Amino acid sequence: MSSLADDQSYVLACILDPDFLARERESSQRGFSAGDLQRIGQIRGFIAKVKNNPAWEELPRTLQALSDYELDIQFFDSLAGANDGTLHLTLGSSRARQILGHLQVFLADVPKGQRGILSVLASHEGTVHLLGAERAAQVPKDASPLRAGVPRRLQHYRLTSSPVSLELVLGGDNAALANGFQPDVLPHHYLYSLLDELVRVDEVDPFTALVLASVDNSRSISQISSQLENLGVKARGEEVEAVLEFHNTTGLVEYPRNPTANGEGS
Amino acid sequence: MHPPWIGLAHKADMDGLLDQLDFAPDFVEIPFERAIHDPSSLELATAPPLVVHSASMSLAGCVAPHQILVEQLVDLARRTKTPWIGEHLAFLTAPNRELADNYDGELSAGYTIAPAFNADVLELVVENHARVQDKLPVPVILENPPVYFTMPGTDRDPFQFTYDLCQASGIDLLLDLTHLVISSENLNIDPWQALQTIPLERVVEVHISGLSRRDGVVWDDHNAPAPDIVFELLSLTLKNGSPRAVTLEFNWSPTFPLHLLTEMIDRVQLAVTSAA
Repeated sequence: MSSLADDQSYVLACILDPDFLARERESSQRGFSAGDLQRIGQIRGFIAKVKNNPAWEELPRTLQALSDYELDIQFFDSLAGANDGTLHLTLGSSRARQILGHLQVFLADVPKGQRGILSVLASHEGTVHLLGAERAAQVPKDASPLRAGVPRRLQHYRLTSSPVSLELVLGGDNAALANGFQPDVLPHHYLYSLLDELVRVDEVDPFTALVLASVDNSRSISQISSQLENLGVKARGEEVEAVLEFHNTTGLVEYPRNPTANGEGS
Repeated sequence: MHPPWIGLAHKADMDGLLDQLDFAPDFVEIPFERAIHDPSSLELATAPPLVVHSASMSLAGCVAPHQILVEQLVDLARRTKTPWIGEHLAFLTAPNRELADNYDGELSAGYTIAPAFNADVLELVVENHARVQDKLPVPVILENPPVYFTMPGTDRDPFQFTYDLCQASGIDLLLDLTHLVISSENLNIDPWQALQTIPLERVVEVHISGLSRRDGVVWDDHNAPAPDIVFELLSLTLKNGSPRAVTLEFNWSPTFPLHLLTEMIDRVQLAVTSAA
């Protein structure tokens, strides 16, 4: 019975402690073959994968792609190893953030095509997740008075760019896409905003993306223009204003063009 | 003889799933662990009969199930009126003899692992089973685990072990046909031969789920459809045995496609009808 308890204890130690398993794989003298120990390492990844099944709620496409590419067990083993052997991540948004954060590290060793698709899916679902987490906050409140010529955000929104069309990735066969993966010459830019309780995703032109990303409730139109000029983007004030006026009508930003009408001035 | 009930394993948003399906399960199999962590999971809108399934007792392990766990199972069995409790023929807890610091006297992976298959473990399983069975109001049936590697000390295959267990005790079985296929492939055993070794007359419940392959290993996967061979083995099981229930376990992801689940249900129903 002692030997039985020893063997079971040994297997669990290998699963729970990545360093212990690594040492044993160097020089085990316990009757487990190198193949057995490799398999036990895979079991750790498998258990971590199963224990984090609730993450499917938040990251269904990313996890499906990891599964389609047969990377899921390897990924979760790597994730558990990076967390001192923790098999079950904390609940809620923290778990999704940890998975997405570690995915960025993990993807460095993944073939280019799969890496490209996984990056797009992870970026998309991470952005949707973050906006969803911000939903309860309603509006990014700014108590300071509205200043003329200084746009500010009325809603939470986020911008991302992708080397491949998100529409293609979300609607297509990921595996087939990965096999023929070619980044587009110009990146696609996406605006994520909250429409009622849902996250809305729109492709926007690069200039709109830059302008909206620059709105931080403190920069003025002229400062945004200068910032874009510094980035090598020709941005006349009226072009910036045109973008903001349009998104004033969509409810994303508040742009007090006429200070007298608002009863406030700078 | 009444044909077996057909049920579904509980998953997140079970009520939503039952609303969408054009199928009313005869029962829902509820994981003991979920029922403890989220008691609201027991309160389904259509109030189907519940069957309790546990993965916590570590009956093939050297650490006896804790008293509080057994008490919780007794309470759950009484509240749900489950006709039996399924448990894995596996261990998940062991005395800590390897790791210093951060661990108490026990190690637990929180997940079931197939034990060595030999006479010592057989004796241990029978003893542990008798200890918990003595306290529980309904039979505890044992489920064949998926075997991913061979523990030292193994002297027979898992199917022969199951046969020997039935010979040595009155324990009845929960036959997971996907686990059978997984173990067969990983251990290079013919699955049909494996099924012939199992005493099918002792099978009370059957599990059906999916599997996936990674780096030459076959893994349990409740987010993948069951392969054809699982349904072929189900037909033979129904022909030569008389299980009281068949449970479809596709409960790992809320995004498991509805059309695939419907297809799996249809295939189980066809197998049951054909065997009647």
